[in-house]
Amino acid sequence: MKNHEKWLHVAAVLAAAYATTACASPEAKQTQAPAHRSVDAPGEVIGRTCAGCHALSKKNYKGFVPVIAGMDKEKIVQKMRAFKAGTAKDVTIMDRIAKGYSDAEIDAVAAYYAKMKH
Amino acid sequence: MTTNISRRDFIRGAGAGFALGPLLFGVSRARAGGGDVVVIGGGFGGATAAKYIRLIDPSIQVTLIEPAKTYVTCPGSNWVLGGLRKIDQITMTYDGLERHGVKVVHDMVTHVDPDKRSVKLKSGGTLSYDRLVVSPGIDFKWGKGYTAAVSHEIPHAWKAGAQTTLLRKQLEAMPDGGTFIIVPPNNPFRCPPGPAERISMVAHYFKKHKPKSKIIALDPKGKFSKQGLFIEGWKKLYGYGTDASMIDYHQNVEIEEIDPKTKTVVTGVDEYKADVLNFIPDQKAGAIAHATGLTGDGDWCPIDGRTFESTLIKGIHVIGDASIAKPLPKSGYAANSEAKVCAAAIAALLQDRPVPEPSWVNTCYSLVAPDYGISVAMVYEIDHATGKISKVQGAGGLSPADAPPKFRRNEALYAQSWWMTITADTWG
Ligand SMILES: Cc1cc2nc3c(=O)[nH]c(=O)nc-3n(C[C@H](O)[C@H](O)[C@H](O)COP(=O)(O)OP(=O)(O)OC[C@H]3O[C@@H](n4cnc5c(N)ncnc54)[C@H](O)[C@@H]3O)c2cc1C
Repeated sequence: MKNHEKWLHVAAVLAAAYATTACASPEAKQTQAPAHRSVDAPGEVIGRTCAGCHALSKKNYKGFVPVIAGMDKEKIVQKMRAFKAGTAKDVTIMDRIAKGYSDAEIDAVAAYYAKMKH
Repeated sequence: MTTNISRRDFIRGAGAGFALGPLLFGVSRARAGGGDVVVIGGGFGGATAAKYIRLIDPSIQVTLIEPAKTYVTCPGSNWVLGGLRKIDQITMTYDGLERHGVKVVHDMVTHVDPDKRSVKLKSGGTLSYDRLVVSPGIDFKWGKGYTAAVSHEIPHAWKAGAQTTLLRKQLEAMPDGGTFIIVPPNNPFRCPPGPAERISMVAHYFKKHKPKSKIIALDPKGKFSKQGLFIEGWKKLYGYGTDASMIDYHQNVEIEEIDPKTKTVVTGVDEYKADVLNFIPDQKAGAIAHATGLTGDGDWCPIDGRTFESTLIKGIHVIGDASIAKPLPKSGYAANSEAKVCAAAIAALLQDRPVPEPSWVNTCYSLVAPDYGISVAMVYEIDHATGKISKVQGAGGLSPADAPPKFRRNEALYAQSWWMTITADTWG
């Protein structure tokens, strides 16, 4: 409780950010940033939907789905294009999902994940 | 900083049973940015919304009200019935949300006053909000001999926790050669593939431990989600369609009533006696949604898909199972995805900025056996011609029929990975 209250206070003072680089990482609260921030940076809204399956951190992750946070942007773009075109090997679900996005959206999401630390 | 101090004092007051809402209200309105959001319900929808509002704009104060200290996930609860998991392995705590600066209050909202923008707690406190998020999940339509009291003997197990444990114990106690009967609900209901996954998991358990036992499904509906994929799996694994089939699935069954004493299901044409009976009632939005007037004349809450704000009451956003978000299904993945759209919308609205263009995904994995998974996925967008949520043309769909064993194994691994990731994304 005590810690939590302290944190509420500290958080307000720092107005800590969920920076474009650190989506859901708990470290976000230590980053200094403006009091409030843009809620519509490109790629964010779509990018958040991936986090149901793709963990945002490799730390303690024991699953089998690739962690795309911090992955090279071009690599993500190439993969997504191959999924979308139906040319990727060993795919189970991303071919179905990739067809839901335009090339520009794929670019924006790739940039969003490439910048993310984990 | 006054906002914070008053909020902290206020929360203490709420705990002690004081109604300091109006005081907080006055102070919190004098803000630049920030604002107060109250979230009702710490399930998939509410927990995700609370966390992501804090992540998107840490100047917003978020208070989440949830009566239970822990949350047992419905996803994975069928795996408990199949003996693949223990209940504590699918039990979440709220510590993670507190680390994001969400104030978690273990209490129950008993009343919402949309005009004063405040909620009343069971313990006596009052909380004011600029925006309210309502994610209370489902309640049941009791009837046909099935009541809340009967559910303590004959579990629905459609809210995970004690109900799941009860059903598992009954399956364990059932002698080999017994009959398990499941009665799935009418549409719309939470987790469309859930009943068939449950049948699969019970079949897996029986095959291993009670191979002479039978499963009878008495479904009022004519079809079910992923039907083709489930039946393919049942044929491969549980003799479906042969004389030796473990599973007997009846469709378009007219359920007249159940006799709880004899565990008998009376249908339009026959009577079926169970050793273990799992009755899953028809469903509606959680009680607080009805009491607040968020359901109008119906069972569920109409919303504007761009923000999830109620179309009936301003300032209140309804997400998750309780909302009408068709064609998004009533699933944990969808509730999580809706919560993120709602969080971004609320942050924008509190900053007087345009709401960002939404986007949603749903992926529902089901296990037919521990190494045999199937899935359905979809990407959703706003159709600007109608303003409604719609499926992105050409995207999504079922995993293929007749896929090789490796494909099914991978989907089973991804199903379990999904559980780890979505729970961390929601409560972590
Ligand atoms: C057997 C089964 C298997 C499932 N499997 C999957 C799956 O594999 N994948 C998937 O995506 N989905 C699955 N689901 C569906 C998923 O569990 C639900 O869609 C999801 O829980 C919906 O989230 P919600 O926030 O709307 O409601 P819930 O998660 O039910 O949360 C509602 C919360 O609100 C609280 N609450 C209610 N009223 C009040 C009040 N007045 N004040 C304060 N708090 C209140 C409740 O205590 C509860 O904790 C499954 C469901 C079942 C039954």
